[in-house]
Amino acid sequence: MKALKVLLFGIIFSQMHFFSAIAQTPDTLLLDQIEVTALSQNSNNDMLQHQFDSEILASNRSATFADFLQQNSQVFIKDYGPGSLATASFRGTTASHTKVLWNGMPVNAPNHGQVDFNRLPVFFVDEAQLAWGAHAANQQGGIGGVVALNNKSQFNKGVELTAKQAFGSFNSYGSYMDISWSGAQLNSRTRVFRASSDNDFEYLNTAPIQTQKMRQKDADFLDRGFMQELYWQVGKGIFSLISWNQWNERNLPPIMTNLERGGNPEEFQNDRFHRQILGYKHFWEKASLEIKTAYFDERQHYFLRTTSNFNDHATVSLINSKNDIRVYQFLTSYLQQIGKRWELTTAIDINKQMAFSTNYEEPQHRNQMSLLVNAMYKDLKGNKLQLGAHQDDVDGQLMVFSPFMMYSARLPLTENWRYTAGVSRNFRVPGMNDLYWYPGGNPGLKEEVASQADFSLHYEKTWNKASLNIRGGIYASDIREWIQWRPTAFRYWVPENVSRVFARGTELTLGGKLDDGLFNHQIQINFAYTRTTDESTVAQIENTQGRQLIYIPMHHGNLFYKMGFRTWELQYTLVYTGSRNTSLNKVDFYGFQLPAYTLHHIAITKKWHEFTAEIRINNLFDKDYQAIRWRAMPGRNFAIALSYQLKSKP
Amino acid sequence: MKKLSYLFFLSIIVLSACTKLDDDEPLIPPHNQLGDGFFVLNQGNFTSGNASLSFFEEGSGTMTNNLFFKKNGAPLGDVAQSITFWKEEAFLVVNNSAYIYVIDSKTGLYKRKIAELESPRYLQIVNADKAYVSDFQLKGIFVFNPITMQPQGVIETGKSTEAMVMVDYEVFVTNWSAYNQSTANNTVQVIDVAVDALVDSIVVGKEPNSIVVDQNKKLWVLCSGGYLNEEIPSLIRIDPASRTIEKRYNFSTIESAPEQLKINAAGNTLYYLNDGIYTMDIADAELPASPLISSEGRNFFALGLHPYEQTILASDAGNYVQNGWVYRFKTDGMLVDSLQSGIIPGHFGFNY
Repeated sequence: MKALKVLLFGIIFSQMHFFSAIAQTPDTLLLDQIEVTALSQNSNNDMLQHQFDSEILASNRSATFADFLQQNSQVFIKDYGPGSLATASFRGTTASHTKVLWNGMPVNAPNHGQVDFNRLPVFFVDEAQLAWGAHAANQQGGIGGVVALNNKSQFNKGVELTAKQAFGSFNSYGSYMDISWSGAQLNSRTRVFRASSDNDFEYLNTAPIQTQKMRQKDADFLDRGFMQELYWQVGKGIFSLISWNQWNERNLPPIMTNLERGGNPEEFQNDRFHRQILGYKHFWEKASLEIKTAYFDERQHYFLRTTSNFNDHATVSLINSKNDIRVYQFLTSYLQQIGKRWELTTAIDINKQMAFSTNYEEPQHRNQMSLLVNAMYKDLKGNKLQLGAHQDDVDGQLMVFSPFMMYSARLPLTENWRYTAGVSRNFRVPGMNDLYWYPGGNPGLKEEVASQADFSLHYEKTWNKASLNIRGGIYASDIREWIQWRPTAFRYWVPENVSRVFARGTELTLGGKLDDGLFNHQIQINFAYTRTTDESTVAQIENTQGRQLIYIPMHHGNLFYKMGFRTWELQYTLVYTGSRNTSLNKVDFYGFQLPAYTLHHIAITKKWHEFTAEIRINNLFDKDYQAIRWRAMPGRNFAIALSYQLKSKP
Repeated sequence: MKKLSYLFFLSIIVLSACTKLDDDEPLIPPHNQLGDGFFVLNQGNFTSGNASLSFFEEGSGTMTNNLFFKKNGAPLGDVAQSITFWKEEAFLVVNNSAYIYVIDSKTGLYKRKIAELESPRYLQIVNADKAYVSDFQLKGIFVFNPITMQPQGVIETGKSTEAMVMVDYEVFVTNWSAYNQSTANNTVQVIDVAVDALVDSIVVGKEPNSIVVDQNKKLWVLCSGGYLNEEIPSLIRIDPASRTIEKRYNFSTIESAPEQLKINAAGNTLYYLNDGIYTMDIADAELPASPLISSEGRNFFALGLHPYEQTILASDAGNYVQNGWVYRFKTDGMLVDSLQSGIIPGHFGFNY
């Protein structure tokens, strides 16, 4: 009977919407019920969220989320090069409009609001979801969308060990170890990784008077991470303690036009963070309660020094910038089933952010509180209505009331077609740099407010040996009080709420699986058309109204194909990035637009019992390209990896 | 079902093969003469490598943007700072790329360069054997041969250096920036060009950003008062012979940020930016109370005075992330026309 109750909860939770999925500690007892099976097409997805296929996620364990999302989603990754900064933007918004949650807790840096996706190893994540539009509106700041990364407990699995060693071009190494033990009530899991690269790839430098092949320099990096998870199941509750610790060191390479700088520049950025979450989750027959508290300590150190060529190498310039962030968070959520059709979720999120920076006049802190109510109705046909709202308070000031509504239903007279419509309002508070940077910070900034609408269609069909999943949608987002740093008469810049950005577009996703017994195939195609323009009065005056914002491609997409044959597997990935404006000018100058490019990657995997070997070729056709103007990118490169996986019952 | 598998696989190959592989469109540099006119050096955005050179040809009345790339097939670099003419050559100082390109001023074609500088700002040709380069970071003046482009050393000043003028055998250089400096940025230093050494220092106002010489061989130094409005801005007249301050004009408010001091070809009328464009005679007892030309929403950034025509050039950097404009005014303040240039038009150079 107990097992039946647990199963019931599993079913309820599997149908729950995004907030509940991302705000609660994932739990094997529940989530095992929704694991993706061979031919299903992510059945828990709807049109405003996407949960990545666990197989695809598993096959990218040594990648970063920058590469993973670039190759497997509609999210646009602005990539400054291997090992360098990589940020994600949804639907024509910027990196600071992408909210990233780790087990329900936001990891966006409170100072700049961004997350570096090159510092997010897939290896540390068991489940990854994307949400956008009305489905992301329950998260303050997720104006563009939400990336939710979760860890997952497991019980009664005994000892499990995974070890992976990867080698690649440019002296790239990756070592990964994952060891887990679980009994009936306890689960301990430890993961460590070390990834490094000299990153001294050859590229074509078109900046000098004579175009020449050059080697990238000062781009080496070393990332190390350690994650410890502990889960303790007591009766109908689970305690969890998760600790994520990471140390990232990287040199910062100059752009192609600046390779002949004197003074032997030494420029690097070291980051380290320690994120701890302590949680408890309790289940009743028709309700659940989750309580979490977290402490994040994040430190960033930027250093630049040049020395004289003429004066005993005396220091000429020195920047030694340090930023420390500490965040205390408390989150509690309660879910209650009402009758047979309704579920009600309430949540309170309280956090205190503290920033210590050499770029501020004094330490700064911010207190935030958010109250969320979310109701969902679902009938027997699978039609769903979701209504909710959150009201936030920042340092005693009420933010804009943020409601959201979504309705999803089967199209009349069809069996496999569904539609989803959603409307929402959401906001983002200014980053602490916007408020307190010295000089220029503007403490009077207001929050950015977005009004959004979505409509999408979804076709899903499963046959005996195949399945097909097609989604297409349109959206529009009107973002007011958009913060823009503006020049002043004093030659430093000040952020102001001057822009009004209108983002709209279409998205298309196609997924298919086919298994004929000998071969099995899987394909996923994502494509996005994005128009993002500033429609403010200031843009009118400056004649930039209607122009695509910089570094947001109008077209981008990717294709992932996987074919399995016995113990062999072939993966092919195509990533297309359309042209990007690099200024708000009309495109009458080579420097104002970067050309489109297409990259092809291929990988072959072979399994022998507990061992798996993989050969990967990135940028198969050795495409010379720039993702960001004058940032060097690697041509064709190789990687091999050998992994060992052991599973034994206790 | 196997056939279906092969068809599935084939469709993937076809789909990926259909992807367009793009290539940059090549540009061929023309070799025609530029004619009489003026250059506009556009800084571009820091670390974006989008500095550019524009040229206005007076005969045809046309502005050609992105001239350096069109002539040479390469970008100018990252943050172009200043342009200096010598003989029939123009020295383009590119600050964040830390090099100086020399072009033929009559054709725009690249001739040679010197690289591996620190953070070069302005150039002063001393003679055929040496040129001085001021530097935002280096606590000194870099010396090199303008013909061979070989480095000759550094004159230690103990401070970063900015605008320069030469009077007889001395170069007067302003110490503008406080960035990364522990010493005060309120001096004009004197360099003896015969021995390439610092010989004196004159305390002026905070942040002396520009310096000119008038018809009486007097120096005029414009001090903005500091990046964060630390003191009242001032315009200071110095006698270079005695190295003493003769007169100080204080601005009315500490919030003023005057810069871009220029003097006309006759050497008797000063111009500067202080939101709008101001002018005064060198004999005036007070600073002008009102501008000759109001900014009217424009972000005036650089100033230039035509050496032969009675024309003032003023650039408008706009919002700094799109092309700026160059306004031409008569000396009575009447607008002649406006010309679009590159991003952050920061310096003018007259080519005759």
